[in-house]
Amino acid sequence: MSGENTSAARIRWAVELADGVQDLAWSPDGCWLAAAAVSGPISLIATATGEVSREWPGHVGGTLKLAWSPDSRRLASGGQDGCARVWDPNDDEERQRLAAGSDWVGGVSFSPYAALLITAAGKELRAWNLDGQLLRATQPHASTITDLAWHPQQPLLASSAFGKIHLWDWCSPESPEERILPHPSPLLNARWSPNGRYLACGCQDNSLRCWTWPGAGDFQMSGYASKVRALAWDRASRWLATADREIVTLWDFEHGPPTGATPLNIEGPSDAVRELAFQAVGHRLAAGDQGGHLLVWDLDERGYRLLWQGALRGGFQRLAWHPRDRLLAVGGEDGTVAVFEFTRYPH
Amino acid sequence: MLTNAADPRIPVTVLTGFLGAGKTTLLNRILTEQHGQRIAVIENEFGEIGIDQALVINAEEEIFEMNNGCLCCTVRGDLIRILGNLMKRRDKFDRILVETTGLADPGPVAQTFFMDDEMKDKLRLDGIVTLVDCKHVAQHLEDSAECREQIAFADTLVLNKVDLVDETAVDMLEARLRAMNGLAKIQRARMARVDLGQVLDLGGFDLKRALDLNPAFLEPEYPFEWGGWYALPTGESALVLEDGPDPDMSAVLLPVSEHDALVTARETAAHLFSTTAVAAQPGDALEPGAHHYRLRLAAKPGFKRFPLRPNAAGHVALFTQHHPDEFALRVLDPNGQPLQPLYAHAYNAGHTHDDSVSSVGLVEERPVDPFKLNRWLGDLLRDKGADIFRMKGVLHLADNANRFVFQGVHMLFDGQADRPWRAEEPRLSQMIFIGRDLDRADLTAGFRACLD
Repeated sequence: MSGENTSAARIRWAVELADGVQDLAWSPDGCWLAAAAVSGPISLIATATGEVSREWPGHVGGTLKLAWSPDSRRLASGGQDGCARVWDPNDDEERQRLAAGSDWVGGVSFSPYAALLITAAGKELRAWNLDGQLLRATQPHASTITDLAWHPQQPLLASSAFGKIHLWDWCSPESPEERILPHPSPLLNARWSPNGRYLACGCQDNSLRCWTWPGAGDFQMSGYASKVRALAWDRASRWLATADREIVTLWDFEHGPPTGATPLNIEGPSDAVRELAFQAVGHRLAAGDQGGHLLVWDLDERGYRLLWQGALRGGFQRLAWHPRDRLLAVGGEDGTVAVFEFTRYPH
Repeated sequence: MLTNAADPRIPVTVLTGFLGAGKTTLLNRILTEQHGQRIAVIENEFGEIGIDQALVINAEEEIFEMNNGCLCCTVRGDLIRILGNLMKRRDKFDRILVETTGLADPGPVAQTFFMDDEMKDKLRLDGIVTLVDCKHVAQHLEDSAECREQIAFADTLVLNKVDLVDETAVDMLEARLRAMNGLAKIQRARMARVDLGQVLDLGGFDLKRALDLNPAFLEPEYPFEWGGWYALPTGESALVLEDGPDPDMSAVLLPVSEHDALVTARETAAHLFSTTAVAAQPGDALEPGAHHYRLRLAAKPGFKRFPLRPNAAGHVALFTQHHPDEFALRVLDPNGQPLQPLYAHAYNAGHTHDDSVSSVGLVEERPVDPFKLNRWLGDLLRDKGADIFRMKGVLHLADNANRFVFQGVHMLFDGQADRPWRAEEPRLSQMIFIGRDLDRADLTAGFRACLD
């Protein structure tokens, strides 16, 4: 791990996992970073010290996804064994094992507002209460669920799949209202803008699809060189950053949907970008590419400015900004988990 | 031995074939033989694989249409997800095997390795192996477009269960499959027992192999697959056949001089094949001359005999719509002894059994202009991509010391600079198309217009 412009960033700590990093998740209280290795083990790392506090075995065959409960007292994981597992930071044993379905469990998500844990196993979506009781199993989706995204202000969950977005209104957890937004593309990911007005999806067929909310009008941005694999909104809901294999693009939503507008293309990454992440506080955008380059830009009214760049052996898998501090967690193909600490603006 | 040093990507072998063709048997064989490779298997049908040294993942086929205006652009979403996960592991596999369902069109699985950039970066489609059940494939070829596509897409065809049919039938089948796919290596097997080197590690663009196997590949098309020159003795000779893949077959019998034998006659025959046919039932006499006979083979099951008029004595050329092997066709002398042709030639037939799947090979000696080629292929694939299943080529690009190799599936193709041309090696540009309703004249003209 190395960095340039080290006046702007330093490594606070680094940990080696047993295998490539599959997922990273900060606890909402900021005390923990959970990191899953692709082959299964899940490490619970203390933010302050980098000490690995616990190492859970994770899932047989491999762990796919991590999600914290809003109160930071539970970590849920989904894996290739068809289970979702629930872990307690104070315990080595798993708290719950939920039979999420027969397929890989690629989605786990706690509702920020209701006491719900949602699991997505292949085409099956299930809702559980915090005691691990199954509340609801929905009709299977027509194809595999690729992502889950809770609306930031409402008990509304979006699940993306091939050909459709399902919107679930969990006001009543036993019988959620379902609304389907059809779209003929394979949707790979789903991200609500922090103001809750837009839902953006990257597509396998080299395009980006957005819906407005409420109203669900939709618009499409095409011309990408490959599938749109990374998406990130800035906290002000002005910028939507997207990445295909060639370029990082910024769409400006300040005056509504940017249809017809030319996006801002960010120069810099020399290899295919795997992951993009906007700071939860502040205006920084981080990108990690498959060649192991990490770039951090500052965004303001005038556009973007490269703040810092560093490198990792092997490519990046995951990036995650700390919920409050200027800390960026990165996870690499080679199993490295590192946390960078950024100083204040250098000027 | 089984890796390609020049390409660090992990090879993927796709195994297709109708239900009962022996895919699971072959998979088990691959997994149990001592080859020292770590293999991951993506299975689409619950087979009976239980081998500890391999990782076996069951996948449910999930086909994504690409919604980009191209109906043939489809990928396998399940493979992108599963293989994407495997590629993240530190513990890499030497090879990946993907088994398709019996009824699968191999297009989406093949296109996945061209269409998805992450797959393309990490994995290379090494080859498509199609298992054929010799006993039942004829029926499947009639009934199923998927079966025809599995044949057309193959890099290797394994004719399995040869012990269940007689050798003549296997010869006939091989001739028929060869006409559909001129590129594939063909292996015969019992109980899926094949040389694994012929099934794995198919990488490399060995077009010379295709040309050696089928020299007619590069010739103009004729409406017949075969011509033979016979010297008929005095008396009543006869044309005899067995049942074959089609209920009837066209044939032309022409008197020829000793000097030009098939050369002049083939042009006359090509013309006659386009004229209205005269039906001939088994037992009807055939007369050398300007007749286009339609032999009604289905009128009598089993052995059929068409006497040749006594005045046929002398030199004649016989042209048949299909290869004689497919119908066990022979010419018998008046004593009932088989007559060997003085000369025989297999032609490149424009149509075979109305399968409409065929191969077209092109070779040019002049270097290719890459820009013209790119434009031509772009236009061609936009218009005809749905009908072009596979495409392979080794090109001599103008001002380039290296061979350029490429392969494509439907509208997608992927090419790269290969090793330098060797000093003694003729610098030829060769391409092969396998597809439905291919127009050889059109492809030839298009390719020629790309020459430097």
